[in-house]
Amino acid sequence: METKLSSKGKIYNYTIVEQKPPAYYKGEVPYALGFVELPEGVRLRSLFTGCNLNDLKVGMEVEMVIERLFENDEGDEIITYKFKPVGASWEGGSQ
Amino acid sequence: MRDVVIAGVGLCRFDLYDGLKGRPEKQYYELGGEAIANALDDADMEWKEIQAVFNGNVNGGSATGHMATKRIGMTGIPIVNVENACSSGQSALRLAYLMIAYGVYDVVLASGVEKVPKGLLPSEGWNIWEKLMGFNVMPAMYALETVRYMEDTGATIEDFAKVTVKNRKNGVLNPYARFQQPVTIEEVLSSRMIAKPLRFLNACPLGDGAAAVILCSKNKLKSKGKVVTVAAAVLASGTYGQDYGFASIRIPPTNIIEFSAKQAYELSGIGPDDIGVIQAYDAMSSGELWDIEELGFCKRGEAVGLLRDGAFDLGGKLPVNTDGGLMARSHPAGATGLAQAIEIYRQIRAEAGARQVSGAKVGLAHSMGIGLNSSITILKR
Repeated sequence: METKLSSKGKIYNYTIVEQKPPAYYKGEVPYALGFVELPEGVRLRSLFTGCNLNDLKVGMEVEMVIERLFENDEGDEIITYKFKPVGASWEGGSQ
Repeated sequence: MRDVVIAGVGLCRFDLYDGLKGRPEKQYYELGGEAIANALDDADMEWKEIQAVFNGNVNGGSATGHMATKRIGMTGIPIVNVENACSSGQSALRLAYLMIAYGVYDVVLASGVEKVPKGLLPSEGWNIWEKLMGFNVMPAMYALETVRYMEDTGATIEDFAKVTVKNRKNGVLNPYARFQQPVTIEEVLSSRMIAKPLRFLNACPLGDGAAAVILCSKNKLKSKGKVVTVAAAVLASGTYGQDYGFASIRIPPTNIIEFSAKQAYELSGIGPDDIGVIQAYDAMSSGELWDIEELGFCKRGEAVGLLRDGAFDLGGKLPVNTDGGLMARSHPAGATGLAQAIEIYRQIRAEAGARQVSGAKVGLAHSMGIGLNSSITILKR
């Protein structure tokens, strides 16, 4: 069975990481991550973008965007899905 | 199955053995040798009586148990190293327990040794894409669960600070703890943020250390004093839907702590009401509260009020982390679970000195590990 998931949901929980992760991640620190609950009943682990991280709140409506994660050592751009607050005037990245 | 009792226990002091700031430099095998020798003394046994070894370790690579025991004796017995993340120590104890319970051996050593790398503990329990996205930060995973816990129960950051303060206060009474100085609520709340809302002093400190527990059948017991029996040694791994973070759909996820606790209570015939002292898993101080709840000692959210009322203090009605827990002891992953069981053993034998809980007859130790793992040891008089 296939279910098409919507690209909008609500923040179930979130945190702002202020310490560099052990390995692999080369993006900005601090960064925000958490779970987004989609209307279909799926919770998805994601990064957050498109706002001042301190404005994030549990229950906030968010939508998916595709955004640059970082450039790896070979110079390739790594992209990923992230969620941003609905209606935020998104220009990429967090503020 | 036959009864398995604890023959003797040993620890080295948990600390950083890095040769800096006046601290001695020691390797994990030296620490392990010290703990094992202490356990042999405590058990009134000699090395030649040990028939097998299960050794917990996470960061040391190959042959850590071999290196630790080499310093004590080389008798050709089987040595198996057990890597099960922060559940390694209790996983080793469980294997030792099963070998005796099912009559394979009569006397088995469960040891745990660790020298930790600096900084956030690296973990391989993630997909590559998750690491690239920076998800592999354990305090952040705890922070997410903490945010939900605050929403659902009304717990505050002051409550989580109280857990740290309580455990560090208990650590003052534990000569084997890395930190034997108390901290204040204000110090916790002003320590640097790691993953909002959790701060540096909400996290257990790093530490090097070793712990050893010798288990045996009743007929091999030599040490005097109160006899402590292993009532349950349980390990649950990898339950659906609770991969450190709620990826649940409308099928409710299985809570691995509740799942493992149910097994431990069924196997032992012991329930939460029978248990007088707990070593809960306080890798992050907020986690101690839901740990107590999910182990079945109270309902969701009730641990907050009990904490505020002092129920979990030494002298409270259900003392938790009497030796300071991970928060004061520090967290050498391979040794932590065994140190928890050792504190329960000391409490039941009335050998806990200034930390003694009066009349402790049954106690429970719980540790989690990425994977997931949830291991529970219940000891009784």
